Amino acid sequence: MKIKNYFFYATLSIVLFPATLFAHHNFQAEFDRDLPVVITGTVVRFELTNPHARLYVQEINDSGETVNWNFELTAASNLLRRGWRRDSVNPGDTVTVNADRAINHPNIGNARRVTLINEEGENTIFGQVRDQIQD
Amino acid sequence: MKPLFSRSLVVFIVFAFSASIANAQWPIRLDGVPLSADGSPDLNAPTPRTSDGKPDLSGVWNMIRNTSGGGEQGRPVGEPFEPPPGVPPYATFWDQGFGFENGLPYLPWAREKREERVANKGIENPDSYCLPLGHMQFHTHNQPREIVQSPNQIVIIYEASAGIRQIFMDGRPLPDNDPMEFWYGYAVGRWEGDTLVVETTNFRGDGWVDFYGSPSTDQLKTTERFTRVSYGKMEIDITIDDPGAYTEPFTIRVEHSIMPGDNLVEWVCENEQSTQYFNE
Repeated sequence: MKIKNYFFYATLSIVLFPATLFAHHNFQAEFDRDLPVVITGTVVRFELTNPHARLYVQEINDSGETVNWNFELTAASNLLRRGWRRDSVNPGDTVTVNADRAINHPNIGNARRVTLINEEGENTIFGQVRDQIQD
Repeated sequence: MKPLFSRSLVVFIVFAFSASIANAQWPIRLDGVPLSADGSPDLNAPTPRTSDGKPDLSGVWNMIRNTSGGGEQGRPVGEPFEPPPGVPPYATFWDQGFGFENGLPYLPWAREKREERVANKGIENPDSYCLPLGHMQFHTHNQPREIVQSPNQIVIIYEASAGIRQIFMDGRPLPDNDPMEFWYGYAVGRWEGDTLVVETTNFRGDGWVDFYGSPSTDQLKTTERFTRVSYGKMEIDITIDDPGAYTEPFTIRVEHSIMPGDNLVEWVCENEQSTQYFNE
């Protein structure tokens, strides 16, 4: 699949250059790196838009409750340069997201890593990667 | 294909090849780009020149990493790279004093202001309100910028926040009649050999020299020296001279790598997306 090539190079680019490549929009005022979250859920919507791409994910937590998450990704321009398009992530996809939570909202975060789990069980990593993520 | 794990200018290589592999929506056009024997852009090719013999600074440029740990959201990490002899300390987006042994030479009020801004998580950074970031935040931003050069004017377009700077090259002097204060200041440029020297004054008095909030005042004058040392590399030395905030002028180095044949992509700061997340 052609889309695998996109993700392969996106993964390499992200592994090589964590976070330096990602647009800033006052992360510190919005998110707290000391509030890490990791969730696995189903993509509801993906927006490749200004100023930051957004990924909406629905999680069924350990208590069986539905939790709706809103994750900020990097600038759309950075994703476009990696070959992303609006259909690079689709509703119904299963993803695991590592994120820094918003300071004043429990279900909003800044994604550091997004792992797409496809039918073959392959894990493809997008988004921000930080060495030795402490989750 | 050239391996991605090249040791030189890896950032631009990643961008260039990722974008070129991706699709035709954002084509990488190599017309006029000097090529190596293997067909890849020759970053070490000589500096291109305009028809009047001046260095041509035109192109899309990306920030070259200058700390051992790169950066992550919130702060520079690792250690600053040691500059070669005679080269000023490297600038970083978060903290322009990162490469200085004792930090920047703040006046007491400026040091207090910076500490206050750090404590407030930079919420008053113009960036938070989708306002112009200022020279230094733009110089060190990790989104690219494009230089468009003509004989009488050089324009720098910053992808981040769609910033635009005009540098007048027609010999006019800096203003001496205090016309007004500008987000981007009033800039005039001239050539000294192969170096473009840009002097800028008339800044607004509430500037942010870096993301951590090192301040600047309306007394600020910047002198930037742009030298395109090869096709692929730009060196920019910036002298910050602001007696309203610092005890003495200081000079920092920014280095950019070319993104051959690339384009800026629209990036519009949509403030409404983010203000709801600001901690009250």
